[in-house]
Amino acid sequence: MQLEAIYNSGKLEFIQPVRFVNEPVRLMVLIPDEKLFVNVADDKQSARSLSYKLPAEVLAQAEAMEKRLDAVRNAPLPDDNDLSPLSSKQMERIQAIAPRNDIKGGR
Amino acid sequence: MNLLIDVNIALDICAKRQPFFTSARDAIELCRFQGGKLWLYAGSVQTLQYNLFHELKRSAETTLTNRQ
Repeated sequence: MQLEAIYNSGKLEFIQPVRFVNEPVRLMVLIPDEKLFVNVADDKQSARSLSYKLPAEVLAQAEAMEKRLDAVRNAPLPDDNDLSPLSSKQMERIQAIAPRNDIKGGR
Repeated sequence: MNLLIDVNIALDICAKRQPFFTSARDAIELCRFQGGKLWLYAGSVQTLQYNLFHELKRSAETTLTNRQ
């Protein structure tokens, strides 16, 4: 028998009062796909933790962001010759940090 | 929906730490899509830089080891 119910804030309530012979009762719930914000992800690594479904536009933006980050992360390091020379203040800071590394190395 | 990004979430994004990266990425994009603001505590930048350096270094060493 199919019955209509309303889901709200974690509670499923039948529209018409229902009495069961005994409880608990295992039910099958039919949910329209467009109402769902949850789904199992295709990514096997995250399948255990993901339980939501993103709108297609958001997923596309997320994948685009991932590609940008991958490009930055995997980009080759710039040539040292292309870097601007260190200022006197930067040199002063590097020289000030050097003794700390010596102390750490001695521990 | 506004999000305050914890250092660990920023690390998950920048260093692509699995299995956390995908859900972190999705949460940030969903926030942006909904017009929310993303916040990062400015005082955590040093911690972020330190941990990101070591995370990326470890990741590069792992990649080299796997290639050998």
